[in-house]
Amino acid sequence: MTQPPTQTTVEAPATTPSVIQDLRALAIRSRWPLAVAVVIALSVAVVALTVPTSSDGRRLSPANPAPEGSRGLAQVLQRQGVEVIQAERSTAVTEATTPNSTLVVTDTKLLAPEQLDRLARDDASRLILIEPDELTLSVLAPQVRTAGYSNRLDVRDPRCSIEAAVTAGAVRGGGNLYARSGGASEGGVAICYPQSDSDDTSDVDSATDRGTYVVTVSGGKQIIVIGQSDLITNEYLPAGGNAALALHTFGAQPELVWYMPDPLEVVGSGQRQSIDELAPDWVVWVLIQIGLITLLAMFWRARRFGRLVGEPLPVIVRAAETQEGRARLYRQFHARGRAAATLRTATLRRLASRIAASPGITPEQLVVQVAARTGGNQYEIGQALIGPTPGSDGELVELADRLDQIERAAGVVPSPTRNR
Amino acid sequence: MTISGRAVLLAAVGLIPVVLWPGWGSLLGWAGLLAVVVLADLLLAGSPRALRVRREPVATVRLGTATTASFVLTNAGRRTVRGSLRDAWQPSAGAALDRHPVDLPAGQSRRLVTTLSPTRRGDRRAGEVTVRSFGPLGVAARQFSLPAPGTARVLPPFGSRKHLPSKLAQLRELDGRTSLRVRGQGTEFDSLRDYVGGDDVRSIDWRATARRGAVVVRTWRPERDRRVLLVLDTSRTSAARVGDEPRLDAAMDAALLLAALASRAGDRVDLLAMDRRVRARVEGASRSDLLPRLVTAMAPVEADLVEADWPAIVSTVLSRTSQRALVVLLTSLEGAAIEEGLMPVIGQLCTRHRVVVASVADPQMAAMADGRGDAYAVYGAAAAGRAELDRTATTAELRRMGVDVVDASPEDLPPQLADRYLALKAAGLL
Repeated sequence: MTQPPTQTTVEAPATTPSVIQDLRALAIRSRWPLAVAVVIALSVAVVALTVPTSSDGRRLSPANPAPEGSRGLAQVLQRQGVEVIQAERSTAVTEATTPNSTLVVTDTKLLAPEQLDRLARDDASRLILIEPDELTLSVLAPQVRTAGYSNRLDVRDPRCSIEAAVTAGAVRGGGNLYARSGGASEGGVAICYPQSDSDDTSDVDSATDRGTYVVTVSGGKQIIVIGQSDLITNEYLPAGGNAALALHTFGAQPELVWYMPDPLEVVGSGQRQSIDELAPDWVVWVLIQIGLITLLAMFWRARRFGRLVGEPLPVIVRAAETQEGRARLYRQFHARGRAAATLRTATLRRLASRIAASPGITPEQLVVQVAARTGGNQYEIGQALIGPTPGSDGELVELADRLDQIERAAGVVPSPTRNR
Repeated sequence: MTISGRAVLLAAVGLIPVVLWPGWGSLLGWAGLLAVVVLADLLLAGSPRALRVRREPVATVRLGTATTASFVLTNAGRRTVRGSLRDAWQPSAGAALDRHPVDLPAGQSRRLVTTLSPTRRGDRRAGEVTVRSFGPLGVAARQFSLPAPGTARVLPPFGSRKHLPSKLAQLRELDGRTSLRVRGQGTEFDSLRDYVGGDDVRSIDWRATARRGAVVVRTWRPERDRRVLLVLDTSRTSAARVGDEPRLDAAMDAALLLAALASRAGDRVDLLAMDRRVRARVEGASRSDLLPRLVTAMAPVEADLVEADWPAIVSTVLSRTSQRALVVLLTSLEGAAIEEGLMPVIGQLCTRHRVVVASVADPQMAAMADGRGDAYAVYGAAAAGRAELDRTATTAELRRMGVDVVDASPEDLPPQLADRYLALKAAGLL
């Protein structure tokens, strides 16, 4: 049943203007509080969206179950007996690492030189760098340098002798590419998953010298550079040899320290700096003063200019409400029989008065007279006027239209509100 | 007391020293300065308690027109009172500009006027007059509310006034003043006069003609000095709104038109507004002050959400009218209320009086009854049709008992009721 469009025609239009005026007055009265509330809500939303409240929502976080998180890898490692420690401060990393641990660093762009030095001096014997930048490499793995970026995301073969890569086989390709630095010997740096064609790369190095998985040794640590971080995301971990490569790389030692640098960590101190240390010292006083001004302004605006005068308001009962309620009941219980009977009775009365029938006329006689007068089919008119109860709401609607047609044919003057 | 925007501005200026010399010193120093300024301003302000308010009576006003409410403000204190003032009225009194500036030296008086455009009928009440007396700096003010009760009576709009001239013209045709009049049942012998061309030959009085030797005709006039009793039903059915106004307001409109017409026709008009008890009553008003008395009596009457006590209404009507009268019941033909309340007792009324039931119909019902196109509209049409049939049955029942029924929308009811009155008068059925 299609109800909503006609509901508006049934409602009384007469009372709505005052309601609209009331709403408008309310909107005008409360526009300043509304504006302030909207501004506050927007600022809260912006802050909430831009500042990550915890590392759980960050990309490659071992606690993030989203497609770009790495909880899957962390859980598999834990099940295999590897202890995964999550760290956000470089000082915490230094404390957590032991000679038996592997250190993973994501987001190396957030690291300052002091933090990089601290990482170089820590106890971890293996260091995994995910998509590191040039600065990071120059401190932690000077034998390796960045060598462009590849858009080719198709699977790649390892083409190197590193055991983890050989075991894993083909993995997801593309991402950041890395190559040997100028002075590095060929034996000291192993490059796996080389970029074979140079068409869609941003660099002109020879293809075999660049890869997305580079292993080297520097400062007494084994250093693994991973150029394609998709390997360890929840989304791509199960694909191809991704999982095998990740587990071999990350699970080689019993401890894994997962370092996701905190952008607000103050270099050297390891402490997050509070906002009042950053702000000039008059800010607090100005805030107190603004608070006082606000209180004063509230008192200024809130002070009422004398008492309100109460008014007993009349009840608003629309006369048509009873009929609307009855219509709803009919509709709710599909009282087609009752509705059809009413419509038919009304039509029969109008027809009887139109053709000036005698007061005691039966509906059957009236049907005969109407058919004779209009020249219509007597059976059809009989079906409409005294026929069976309509079987569906659709038939009821049709019956109403049919009754209108008969009335028009018989010359009953339609009421002025009827528009058809 | 209260403060002005200037005080807030002054506090905001304090941000400058706070930024330049951060610390408690500048913060508290400025707050202290502000407090001293506010205190000084308060002490120097004239006392609003020394003011006296005397309201002047408000002229009655028809709903839809504006009036003025004035009062005299006297300063009995020793200092000038400068600031602003609020003349508080109920919201529906429509006092758009109720704030007035005040600058009143000691010992002087001022007359202040507030324009009212009432939005509701009835007695609209005034509240207090609140004065804010600011000091010379305009930073802080003393505030005091002076009690100043007052009312403005808002009369029914009488929108059907526009029909009065045409109905009066019809009345004059009934009257002996026009010659083209057929002698009817409801006429009284007026006088004899000489025949003039165009007079109806049937009105020639042959006996007088023979006596006088010239053709003499009788003139007639409609019956006069009949009693008309308007009964306003103020029960729950009259509270229901048709369009944007309650049925009661439409009924008042019709009653006023009929009263104006009947008083011109020489009939005496009384009013009774009642549901379970008498709400308003006008009796024995002279022709000149009938309408003012009617509107004044009607003005504060509101429909109540109670069932009408028809036996009580009928017995009140019977006890108040000794001679035969035209009783006009202004109500609504709502099935149950009429069938169970009015039907059993209206017979007593019909035996002694001529009864007309005037009912305010809802045009929306007709629109609903014509709904077609989808199930929602057709069920609505059936519901409205059902109500319509009930109404028709009630009307037929009332007619069978000898009651005249006028059932029309709020706009059509006043002229139709007036027409019915004229028809009854012409037929001499009053």
